Amino acid sequence: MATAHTPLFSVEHLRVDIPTAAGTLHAVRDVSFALDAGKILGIVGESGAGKSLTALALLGLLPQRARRSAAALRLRNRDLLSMPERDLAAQIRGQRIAMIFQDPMTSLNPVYTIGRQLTEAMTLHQPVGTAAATQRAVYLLERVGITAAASRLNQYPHQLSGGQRQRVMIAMALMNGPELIIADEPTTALDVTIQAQILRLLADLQREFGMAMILITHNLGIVARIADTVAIMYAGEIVERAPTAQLFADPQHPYTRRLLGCLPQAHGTVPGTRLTTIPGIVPSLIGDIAGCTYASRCQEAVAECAVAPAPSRQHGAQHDYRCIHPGGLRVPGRDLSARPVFLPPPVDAAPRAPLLAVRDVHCSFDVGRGMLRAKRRLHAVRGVSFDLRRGEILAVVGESGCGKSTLARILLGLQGADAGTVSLAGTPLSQIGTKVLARRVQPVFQDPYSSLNPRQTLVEIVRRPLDLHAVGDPAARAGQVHEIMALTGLAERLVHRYPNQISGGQRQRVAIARAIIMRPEIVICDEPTSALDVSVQAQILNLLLDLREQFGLTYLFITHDLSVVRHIADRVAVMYLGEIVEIGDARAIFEAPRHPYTRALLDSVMTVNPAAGVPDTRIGHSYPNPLEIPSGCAFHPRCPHAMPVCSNFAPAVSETPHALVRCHLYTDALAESA
Amino acid sequence: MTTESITAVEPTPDLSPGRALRARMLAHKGLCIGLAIIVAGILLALLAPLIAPHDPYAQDLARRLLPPVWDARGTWQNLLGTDHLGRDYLSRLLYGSRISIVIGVAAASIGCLIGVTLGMCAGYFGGRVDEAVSYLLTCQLALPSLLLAMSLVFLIGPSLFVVIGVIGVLHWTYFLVVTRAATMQIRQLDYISAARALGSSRWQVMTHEILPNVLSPIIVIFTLEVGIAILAEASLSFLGVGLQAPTPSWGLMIAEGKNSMFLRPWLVIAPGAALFLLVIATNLMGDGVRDVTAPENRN
Repeated sequence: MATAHTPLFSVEHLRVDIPTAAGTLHAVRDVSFALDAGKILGIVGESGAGKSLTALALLGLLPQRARRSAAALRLRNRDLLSMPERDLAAQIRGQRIAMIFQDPMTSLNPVYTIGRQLTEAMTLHQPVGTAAATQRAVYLLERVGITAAASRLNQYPHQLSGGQRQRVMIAMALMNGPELIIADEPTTALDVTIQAQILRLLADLQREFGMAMILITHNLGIVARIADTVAIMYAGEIVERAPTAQLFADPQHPYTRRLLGCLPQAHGTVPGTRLTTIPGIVPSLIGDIAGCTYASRCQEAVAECAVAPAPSRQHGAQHDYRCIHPGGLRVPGRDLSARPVFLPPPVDAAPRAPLLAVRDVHCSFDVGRGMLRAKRRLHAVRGVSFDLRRGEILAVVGESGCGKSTLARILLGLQGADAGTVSLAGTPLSQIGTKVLARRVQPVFQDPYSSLNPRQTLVEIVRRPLDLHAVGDPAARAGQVHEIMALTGLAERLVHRYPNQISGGQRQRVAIARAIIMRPEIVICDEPTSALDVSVQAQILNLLLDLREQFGLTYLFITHDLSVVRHIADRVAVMYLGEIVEIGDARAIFEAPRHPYTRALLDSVMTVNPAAGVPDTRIGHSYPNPLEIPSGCAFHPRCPHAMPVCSNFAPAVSETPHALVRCHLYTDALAESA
Repeated sequence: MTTESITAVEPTPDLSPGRALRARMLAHKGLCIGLAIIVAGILLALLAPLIAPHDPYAQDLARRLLPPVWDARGTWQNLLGTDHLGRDYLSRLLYGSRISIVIGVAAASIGCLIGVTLGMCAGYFGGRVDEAVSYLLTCQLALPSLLLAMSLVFLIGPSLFVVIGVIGVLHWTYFLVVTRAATMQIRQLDYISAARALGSSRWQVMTHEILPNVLSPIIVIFTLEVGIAILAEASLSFLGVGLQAPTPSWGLMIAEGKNSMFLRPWLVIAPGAALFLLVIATNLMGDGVRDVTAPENRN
């Protein structure tokens, strides 16, 4: 940086401290970077890494108790550190630096129209009239892909879908033509197909308007495809920073390498293999950490790591990292455990009677209560049929609102179906008592924070099924709890903890322990890893595969994350608006998807592939709404191959070699033209 | 080996839940103070026959309306003076605490039982059950409860049990509102689904999963209602439809002392201060119990 060249934005030695009752929490310890105009910096880290607080600190938007300190914080040549709050608000925020937040549901004000919020963003900062501002608002709404933009100005946020709201947020950020956009997890709350579209839009706009962008995310795939430079954050520090291609091709820091290994399908992991995990958890950020922040979890740590902070090292001109070992020292043989590939239990080769047979199940709810509001019918599940064979992992994939969670509740007996039958080993669920069903089918839910009773200790939670079913005497139950906790990797000393005293990964282990303690045949996992960080997700996936091997479990695995599906599933069912649009062998579907929706879903997956860029899903961005299901094929409004017949007639199921598909492209002779 | 030396900061084994709870209770000042006052109050009430200097019913018209000992005309024989019938005021205060504590706890318990049961049913089942319970609540809220209590006691006839019953039956609305709202929120959570998927019956879900989690607000409401019930008894007695003379009750004592409040303020101040102390102590204890049992404060 000794040249005359001044970066657009630079920050040096940023720290954020939050005083708490237990001591000072050093949320951000030492963050420095410089960003040139028109470039994208991706900041990646797991929860608790300090990413979001970094973003807020850059704009001076920290919570009141937090204290910020930095050696320098500059936008071009303007010093933002010493700038009074009033000037920051009037001249910088929203004008030269704009911010896009994670949750589009809460970041727009519900009582004002879109138009008012957009124009206000401009008139507050610039001496322009409402007419000019409105003109720009319409232009930008069109630019971000909102149709009939002029008429949308009078709409309120609740009239727009999540994806549309995020587009409006982007338009609002662009109103004043900012030089820098800070986007904090801009697509995390969105579905995968919408996520890909929004990211592509952001990347296009960034290029077109020549803006710089700081993209904060936990998703390595996103930064790999969009960022020019990537900074990996851990425990409040940037531990490694490099140009994107170089970082992913030649990571130096042990944490980066481990993190990449945690990703299913990232670095050539073979489906069904044991994923790399990072043992332990992020250290407490309260108080000082004497040595390297990562030392407590590092496989390559040596004695000095715990004593002195890791030195900053260079690897080429723009690649630096903090580690005591040059090149991050690789210890061979430590990366993978001794038994890399899981042995799948024998799947019934010739499918005799399926373990679970679902036939034409329908389920709908009335929504909208009250005397004056009309009731509306939400069709959550519309004629779903499939078999679950003993010993297999069937993944049910789909976006929010596709009915996958309702399906899970039906299979668990928590929700009655309106029509159709579900039979477990030949017996309809309706003829199986809840207690008997409970011993054979068990759930693992998405959110480990809400799936455990906060008033019970771990031992009470895990023992509860045995108590409920009066299995054995108290001593035998205690023994079983002990055994299952060991199997699920829960330390004995945790038994008296309450759920809020353990980490998210440990909670999910507790939920799994509770589900399998009675040795069920089927475990229904409803997004079991989507609330977890990647390193923890890898641990949980390994555990689930371990347990399957040990107990011959059958999993119905509900998820929206296709890289997880690819890693563990034997068969895949793709759901769209309450229907299964494609079901078949996982490998066949991933290699040759038939249904246009399956293809779009696969296109939207952002694996770590720096050369690929943001994928183009080529489907419409209207949001699927289970309250207004389109006529004919429900997917036709978004389908790139839609034909006249699609909007009138629902397609029947057609059989292809490895999959069943519900699409007009595969009915009759049309199949050839696909 | 180096890895071990770093990760070997194995935390000390956790305290068992009971011992951890005790440690948290001892660290909570409000709880300790409230508990101490209440324990002292209960002890005084139980030991009243042993420590009361006089018979609370013994009248001595020659020694009427004596002032407390700190007054120039006071005597050590009647520490808090005497009332208009010459009964020892301290003794009456001690015996009166028995009635106040019994009424407070019993009436609040009755209200709690009614309100929590209805609230959990309304919140858990929703729909028709919720509508019926909400209707009941609206009716109860529309009626002036003191008036209703007065007429009920008047109709049935005043006695300790009637007063407790009537106060209890009329003080469940807070319990209901709070329990219903909390139950509706908890019903959505996955651990309820998990419990049902484990084969728990509705009753088991309600008692084992929901009840412990709505306990925090219920404890606070309970202590609030103890105070309210004691005051309600005082009001009823004050108005003449509560306990009947010569039963020593704090409310009745205030009622009887009100006639000469300006000339002999201790007649009102002594039972009033006792009432105040008891209500404050219950509230302190309630806040404390909620704080030490709430999951978010366990660290």
